[in-house]
Amino acid sequence: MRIFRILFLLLLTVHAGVAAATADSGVVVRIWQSQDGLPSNVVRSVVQSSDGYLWVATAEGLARFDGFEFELIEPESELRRFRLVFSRLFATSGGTVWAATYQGGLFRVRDGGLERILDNIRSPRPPLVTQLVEDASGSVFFKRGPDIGKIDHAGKVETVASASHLDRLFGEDLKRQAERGRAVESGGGPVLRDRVGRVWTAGAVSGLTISEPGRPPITVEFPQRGQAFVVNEMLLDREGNVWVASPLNGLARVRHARVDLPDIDQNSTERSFSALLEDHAGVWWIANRRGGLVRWTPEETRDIEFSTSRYYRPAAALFEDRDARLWVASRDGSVFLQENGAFLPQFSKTQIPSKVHSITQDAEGTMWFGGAQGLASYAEGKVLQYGKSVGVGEMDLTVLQPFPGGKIIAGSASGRVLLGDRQGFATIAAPEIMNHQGVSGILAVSAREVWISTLGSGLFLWNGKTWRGFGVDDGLPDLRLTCVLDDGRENLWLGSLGGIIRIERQELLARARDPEADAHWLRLDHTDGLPSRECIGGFQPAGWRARDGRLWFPTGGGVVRVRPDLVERNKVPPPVYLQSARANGVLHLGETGPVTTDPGRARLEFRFVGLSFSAPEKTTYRARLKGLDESWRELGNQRVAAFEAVPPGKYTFEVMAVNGDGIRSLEPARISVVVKPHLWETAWFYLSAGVLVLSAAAGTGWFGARMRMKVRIQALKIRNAREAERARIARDLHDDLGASLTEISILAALAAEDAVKTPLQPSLDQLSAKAKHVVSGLDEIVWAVNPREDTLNSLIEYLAAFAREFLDIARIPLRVDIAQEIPDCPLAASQRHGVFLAAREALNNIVKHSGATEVNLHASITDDVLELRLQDNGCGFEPDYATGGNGLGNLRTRMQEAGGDCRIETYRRQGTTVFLTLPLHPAAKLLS
Amino acid sequence: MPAAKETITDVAIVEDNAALGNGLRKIVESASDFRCVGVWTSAEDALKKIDAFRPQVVLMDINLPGMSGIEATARIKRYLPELQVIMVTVYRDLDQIFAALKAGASGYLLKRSTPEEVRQAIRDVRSGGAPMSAEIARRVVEAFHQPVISDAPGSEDVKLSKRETEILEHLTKGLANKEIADRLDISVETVRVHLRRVYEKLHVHSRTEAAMKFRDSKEDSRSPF
Repeated sequence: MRIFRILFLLLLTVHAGVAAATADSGVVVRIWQSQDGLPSNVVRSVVQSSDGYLWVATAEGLARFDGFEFELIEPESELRRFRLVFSRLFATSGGTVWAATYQGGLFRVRDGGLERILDNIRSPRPPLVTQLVEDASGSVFFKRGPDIGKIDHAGKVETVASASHLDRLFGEDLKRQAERGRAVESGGGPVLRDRVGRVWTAGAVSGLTISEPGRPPITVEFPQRGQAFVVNEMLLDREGNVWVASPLNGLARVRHARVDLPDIDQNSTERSFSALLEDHAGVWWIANRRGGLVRWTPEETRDIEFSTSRYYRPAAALFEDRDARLWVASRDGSVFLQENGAFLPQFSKTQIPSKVHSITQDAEGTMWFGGAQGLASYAEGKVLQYGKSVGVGEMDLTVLQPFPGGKIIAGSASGRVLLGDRQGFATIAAPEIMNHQGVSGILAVSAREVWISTLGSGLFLWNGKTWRGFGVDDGLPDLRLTCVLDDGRENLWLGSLGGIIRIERQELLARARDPEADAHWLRLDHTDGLPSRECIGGFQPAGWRARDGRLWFPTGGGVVRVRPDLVERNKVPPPVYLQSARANGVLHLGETGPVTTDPGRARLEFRFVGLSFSAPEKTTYRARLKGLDESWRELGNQRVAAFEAVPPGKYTFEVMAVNGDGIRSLEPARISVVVKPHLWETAWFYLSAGVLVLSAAAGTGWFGARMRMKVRIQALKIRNAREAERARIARDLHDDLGASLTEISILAALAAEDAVKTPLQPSLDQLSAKAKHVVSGLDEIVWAVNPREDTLNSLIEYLAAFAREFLDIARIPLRVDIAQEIPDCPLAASQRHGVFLAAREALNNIVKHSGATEVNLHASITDDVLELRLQDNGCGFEPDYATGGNGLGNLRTRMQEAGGDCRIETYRRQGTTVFLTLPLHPAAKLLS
Repeated sequence: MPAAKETITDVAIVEDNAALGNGLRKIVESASDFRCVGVWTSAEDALKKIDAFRPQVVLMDINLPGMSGIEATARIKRYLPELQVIMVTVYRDLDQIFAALKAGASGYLLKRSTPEEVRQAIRDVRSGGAPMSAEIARRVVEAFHQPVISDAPGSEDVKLSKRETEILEHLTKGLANKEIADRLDISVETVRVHLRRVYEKLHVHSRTEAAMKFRDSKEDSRSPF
């Protein structure tokens, strides 16, 4: 059942309550507070820089805002000593932002850092920088108390005498600021005049009000229940949004709602609306999904029960015939007709038609009923049902509409479309065309232009002969459409589970002819004031064009209406900026290219953001890597693009943002990339990798190759301490060599099993064991070079696991005793590896010489010293021997190189205990 | 020790490296009581097909292109909780292995394991057991020491029983299941069942922080593995 699916979808929806719209104010408010990333809820000033970012001065510092994230501008080293309390922000050309402090200081933001221009003044009430202006030549002047200063490009300040042109400059600025939401000198609240001439005033008691000549003032209600919203400053951004800096409640964005909610008593939980229509007298009839109808006029809301039966059924379809009589079909029940104010059940005797989903009337006055029982018509007291022989039969019809020329067009729940009249019907769209998705709306503009909305397959156009579908590839924001309406202004409006969608009809017709033609979809959702972005479908009519031209849609959050003539596209092209570029996981430093990678196929990852403050979450992106692929890739709203396994070459990455209303960035953001040739092309790697694989396969010569490679890797590691290099080696080893060797080890093991009791068995067993050994050796290398493992925890964990595997082969049980609390302590790779090699050597000695039957591994930390104890119950040896001998001497050397020490306790026939100790440094020291 | 007339165990393999996938298939097919129902090369592919093939055991590579094996495990366990997932990995990267176990896997295997070890692990999870190494046991104990802070509705407060804790503590010291059984005076079978339950509890315990974890592990898989 289609309808149930809709209900189910509705139940599943949880929409975030960040935006609040009020029916009467016509504004949408969104608030950002500290839980949203704002540094502090105390916001003193807000400004938009010329590059499009918003800058916010809060009690906890200055931050840059891109619509998603606040990036705190941290003071540099010596500035940290000062307490910087920002009072006001200014923006000048070139994206420069200036911040004045309450101590009379002034700072310039440059390269993500703060640069001191004017020192703070050490006096109780210092004069503040209240104005900062830029003249036509680009010189910057500021006013601090009575003083005027000029700041040159290098940040040098020069006091200048008052001059007439400066006075004029500051005078104009004063006037401008006073109209743009800043109270510069007077003590009153800020005032802002917006683009349409409305005046926004903020008072301590009255809150924020918007007044317009000839209209009652609007009080902006903030979602902060029960709190007066005090205002420090207001800002009009380029897109026309008003930003409010509050000393208590964070940062708020106020924008005009593009939809409004009619004044129906919508708050009652008993109400949720589905089908609706406006009758000839201007009265609205709205189906309550919990049963009954709401009769609504601007003056009155009245509940009406149409069904007198004890079954509580909602209305599935409403229709007003040409004699101004209202028909109501109850869901899975009877059809009712309103006569003299009362609703009377119809067709009670025949029970046909019943279970109706859609009602309409043709040009001759015949009533048509479509529903779960198929199709029926009613005229002159006679009911006709349309069977299979006349092209209908048993099908679940969801939508009926009159068709130009007197016919009826019908859509079914399985996506079939019929066209016909009382003589019979023909299928004009088989269910396959609409992927079996139910028809939710039909708009027959002419016999050559019929639009069909489906619940799941998007929009379809019939030109009288062929069908053309519009879906994701055409940019349709949501495929789950609930209705299709014409606004009389050449636009199609679609209700959907993802908001209300608008598209110019001609654009779609052009696109049907030429697939390259652009279609600009506009979607209204919660950012535009929709209480829920899910429109309700499955009931007819699922959308209505009112006599005043407004379009009405039932949604999960109540009935909303749109004035098509007032819905304006946000025509401000969103500037787009690259935030970071990574090659093989390594962050590219610096703002400009080229990004160069380590040799080998590269994984490139770019993060970016487009600035569109009206609805940041609706901004979408398209990107391409020129040189690899010339065509643009649609990324949706994700702000990251990744390219896998990019072959060596030179490329340019480009990204564009598209705002929620389909307007693109003027210029893409771009950065060049150079991927260097592959690592494997270097001679030694070819050689040793080849030797290694071959020798492992043959089971001979493996050890030398492994050692050579280890030495090589080790040498590389020492020469080049950069973590990135190590990470790359680890990854290359892992991906290529590791997989091949593991494969060899599996094949060898299988072969050895097959060869049981054949002459081949010993050598295959040996091959299998050695291959396994090589893989575990590689495991060690990967562990050793991977910078992610540079911790004490990793060392101990890895060592324990290694010891177990190592001793398992020799069939010696291992007992482990590791202190419960291992501190989170970074460990340099050299130390980590040194200790590991020493422990491995000790284990090797145990297996080779001791003849032990049990080994104990003990790890503990006392006074910042790690102690590893390896104790066996083997034969032991003369203590003197512990100081000499190559194996044991090595042990000590390794530990000393790592900065630790080694001690051995042993007596003949009493086992051996090796103590490895390593002083640990506090985390901070090592990290710096 | 395959008993006579044992039922057939259907095993699926998710492994992006074709040669390794083939090797594992050969290992699976080398036992008469196992049947390999498919070698799938990506998590996405596996998720699409798994419902149709309904294997009882899945050998899942941890590092897969696209969706990681960890996330795939989480999704599989959500829809087919009775299915047993064994992670296979080239390297003993305990962070990743543990993340997979928290996502619902019942054990892990290194790819260099002998065929017998692989077969044993499959039989183990099939018969209701759950192999666990000392290092993993240690992490499990740590995980349960840290309370999960969550206000999500329905998040159970999962705790280990006394017996489970005892078994884990013995495990961390390196004792084999048999030795643990002897010390606690219970059967090996009971130890195995307890361990299986520990895995289940770990899965439930981690579910609240799960969303976070998968993201992390995905982040991790980007660099350097």
